[in-house]
Amino acid sequence: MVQNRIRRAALAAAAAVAVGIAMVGCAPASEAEQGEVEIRFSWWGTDSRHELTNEALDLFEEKNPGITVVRDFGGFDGYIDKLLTQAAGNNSPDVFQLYEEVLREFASRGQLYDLNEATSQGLSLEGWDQALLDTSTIDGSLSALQFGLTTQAFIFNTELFDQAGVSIPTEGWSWDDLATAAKQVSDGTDAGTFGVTDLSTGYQVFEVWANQNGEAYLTDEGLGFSAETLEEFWQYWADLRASGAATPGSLTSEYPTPFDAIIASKAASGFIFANQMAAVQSSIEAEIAVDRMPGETPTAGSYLRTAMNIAIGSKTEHPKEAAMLVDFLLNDPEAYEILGIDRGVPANPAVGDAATADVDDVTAKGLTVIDGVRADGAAPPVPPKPGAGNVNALFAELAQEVQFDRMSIEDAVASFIERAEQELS
Amino acid sequence: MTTNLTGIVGAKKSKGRKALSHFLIIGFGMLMLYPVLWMIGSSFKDTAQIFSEVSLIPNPVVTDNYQRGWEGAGIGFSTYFMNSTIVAVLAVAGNLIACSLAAYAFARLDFRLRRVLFGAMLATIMLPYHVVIVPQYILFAQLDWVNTFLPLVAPKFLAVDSFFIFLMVQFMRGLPTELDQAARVDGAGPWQIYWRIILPLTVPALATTAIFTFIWTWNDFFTPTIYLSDPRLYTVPLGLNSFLDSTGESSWGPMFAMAVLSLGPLFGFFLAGQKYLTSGIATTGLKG
Amino acid sequence: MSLPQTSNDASDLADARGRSESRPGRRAIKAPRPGGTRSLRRRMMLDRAAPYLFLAPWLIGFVVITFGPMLVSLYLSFTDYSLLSPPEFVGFENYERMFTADPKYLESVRVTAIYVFVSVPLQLAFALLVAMALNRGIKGLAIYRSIYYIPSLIGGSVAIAILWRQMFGQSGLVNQVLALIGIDGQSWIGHPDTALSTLIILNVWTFGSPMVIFLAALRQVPVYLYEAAAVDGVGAWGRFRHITFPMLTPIVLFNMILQLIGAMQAFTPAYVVSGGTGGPANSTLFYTLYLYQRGFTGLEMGYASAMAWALLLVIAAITGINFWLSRYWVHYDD
Repeated sequence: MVQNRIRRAALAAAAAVAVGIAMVGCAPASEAEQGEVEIRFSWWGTDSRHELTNEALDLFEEKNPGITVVRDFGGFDGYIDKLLTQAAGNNSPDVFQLYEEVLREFASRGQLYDLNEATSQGLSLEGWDQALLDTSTIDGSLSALQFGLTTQAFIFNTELFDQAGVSIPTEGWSWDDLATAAKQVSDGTDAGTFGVTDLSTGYQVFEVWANQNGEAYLTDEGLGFSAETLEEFWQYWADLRASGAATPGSLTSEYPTPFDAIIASKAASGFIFANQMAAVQSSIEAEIAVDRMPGETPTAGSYLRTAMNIAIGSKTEHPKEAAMLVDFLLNDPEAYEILGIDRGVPANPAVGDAATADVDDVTAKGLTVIDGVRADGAAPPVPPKPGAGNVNALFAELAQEVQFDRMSIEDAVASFIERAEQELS
Repeated sequence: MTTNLTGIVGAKKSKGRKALSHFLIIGFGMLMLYPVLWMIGSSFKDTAQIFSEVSLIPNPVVTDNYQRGWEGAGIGFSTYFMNSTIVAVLAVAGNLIACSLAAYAFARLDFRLRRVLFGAMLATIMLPYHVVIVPQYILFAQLDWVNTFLPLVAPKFLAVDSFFIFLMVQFMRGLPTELDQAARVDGAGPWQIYWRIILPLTVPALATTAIFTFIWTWNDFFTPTIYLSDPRLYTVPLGLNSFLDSTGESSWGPMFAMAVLSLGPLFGFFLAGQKYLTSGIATTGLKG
Repeated sequence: MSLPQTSNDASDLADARGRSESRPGRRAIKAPRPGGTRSLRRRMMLDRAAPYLFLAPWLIGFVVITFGPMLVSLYLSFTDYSLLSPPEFVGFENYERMFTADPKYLESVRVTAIYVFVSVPLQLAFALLVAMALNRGIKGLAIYRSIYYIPSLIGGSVAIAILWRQMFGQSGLVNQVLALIGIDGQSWIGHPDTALSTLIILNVWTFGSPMVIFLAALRQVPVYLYEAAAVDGVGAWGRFRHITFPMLTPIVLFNMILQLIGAMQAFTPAYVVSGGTGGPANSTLFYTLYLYQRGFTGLEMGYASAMAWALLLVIAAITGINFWLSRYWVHYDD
């Protein structure tokens, strides 16, 4: 009785296995025909980016009939794991996106093709700002190019500010202005709502602070800031927590990114990257205003920051075609009519118009900030030493120790400096 | 056929107690269900509302998450669902065959290296997966199996999942050896005993293996991420992940919609497989 | 650890001639063809080879797919390996650093130990209780069983992570319920002192897998034992103590060992709920999460491999102790 059921199930399974095995061994139909070159391009993003990029790649294939681009796309999670494993297995893509924090790691280990050489194979660097090129030049080799630029910005929930009767700070505002305004907003709104998100765990915010103090966060020699600067930074936020202006530690920890607390209307202002403007506004009904970071005068701290890079694998078998693809994706206005500013503002000014042609009002506000920083922002930093990823994680960790009063600020700063130097050595 | 133990031994149970236990079971069940209800509710909300509105009921009800999700991320979820099904079904077949063979050897056959190999088998699940994946990837890259389903499926046919070998061993050891001995007296060899006696009586373990293998393979994100570079081969978790970008704007609505849909096959497979959980010695009534 | 003894005695085989009697509940086994000693010797050779034939798929998989890469990872644990460049031998440096110069490592050990020793017993107890409750042949059993399994279907997903953060947040559902009974709750998931507890609850909530296994095992307890007990007038607790639990012990051992191994290697709950950070303040930094951070985010796969092998030794030790202790309480029918 039962055995009959089992027998039937087993037969069904065997049939499925047979069908499956027929399909399993087949790689998808992407055989290169005679004379056709296949290159693989990896990127991360959400479905809208995948759509736009695929469209742009179709256009590239149209313009270059002998080249097929194999597309490898997915979410951000797991992207770097896959890339690293592929590199270990000698199976890296020909062209791929890289975020700023890992650029140095790839470059210093010879994984990236020198794009200076690619200029003789179809990649043009005409019109590119030398400072941007320098920021991606590691050990004399141009390791990647900016696939999009952004900058540091500050956003405000206009509704909550109105509710508290506080006007939003404007041009040339200082960190003290923020402290005052945030306290007033906290007082003027419900008990669970605060004026500003506690940003003490954000190394990206500290970077701006350090720049404004004439120092730097990380340099190619190690740490670029003094203990006092970091102490002042963490003290500033401790004061804001104490006065009720900033979110308390446990509330901040509930939200993985700085702007999530704002989306949940728990905080009325906070830090974003300017190209995230549309994403934030679409997640909340209240109108969001955006401005430059506080404390930008007298010394600016924000800079034109790489949103993400594009690079060619050093072991690619088709450097010429890869160079052509990179050139298309960075320099061709037709590409940008499709891609827009999905990845940030294009670095090449020549395609800027095509990219920003269809921009909506919300995104345009973010672009204004970027334009301002482009005009008088700080210089982009040099690539840090390898090991920077661990240092960034350490920053958040020790900031949290301070947030929850488990360590004094002096101890936390000392511990951070000591352990960070270890990671970078 | 389910055994009604309450009929035999619970005749004295009062109606009140029955009602109370029913109430507890249902109430507790609500705790289990709440997150799924929340997921379903979120799938009908606009992305902007998922994080601000805490109530279960969407207001207004938004249906284009499902449409957008289904077409989503360039390839479309019909492909992802099919890929996931192929991989999961093959994995189930592989585990059922290979793990039961190995388990029978460990549980019922005598050979010199048995204890050593049993220990070795268990040891394979004691090493975190993240450090084995790179050497495995290099191996599969050499075999040119990367970017196919082979690295996801072939290991199942080689009994790599020690969890299920161990499970089946424990079940098989619960069967009385008199059965084997009687069969040997009748002239049966090891294969006969395996196929005709042990295997039919281990159906609950087999069913458990099938169910868990299906669900775990379906939900597996890390291995397919590492091995599959062509989105046309992506499985459902990779498709879901394609909606999310922590550095930018994630499409939560479509993701929730597709996550809810993805529960369908999982739940269905569980429902279908669980009736096999109830067969075994207890119900075939093997006496003495 | 005792494994069943089987008989390979040639005399048993020599007796096996002619048709067997049919026994109730079994199919008739075909008698061997008469053919003298050659056939007998072949059968004996097959019998000796049988274990290895049955194990063949596993052996191939073990050697090629599992053991080989495990050995490679052992080698890597003595190297500095960034994945992007070839490994460099560094001897015991990784192991030294782990135990003497890495406070985060020790923290991850502490967090994982708490998680393991609190959540596993709780989860198993729930699983067993619910399995027993559902074993009573109530109406709609299949539905209930499925409902109780649902958490395990979605437990590791991003969707649940979001929900968990919402539910256990300052203004989340849990605090709303607590407010009904007058308790003013804090942010459970945002505070380092309580964040781990939310993960423990998550693990207990996904008790579906051990529950299903317990259910399957409960169904294998022969009915006649309960009938006999009923005739003798044994009460519910007595039935549990003398019939159910002893018959279940092999499966209790199985679930215990595997849930322990699983909890010691737990990764996904901490990864999705904390966003990969192990925060706040390392309060949810599971061992394998830290290992992953070191390996893939910090590009120190050699160090991660060393962590993995240290963990393997601990897991092997704990499992070995469990097996050794099992002789005192596990009852096999063989």
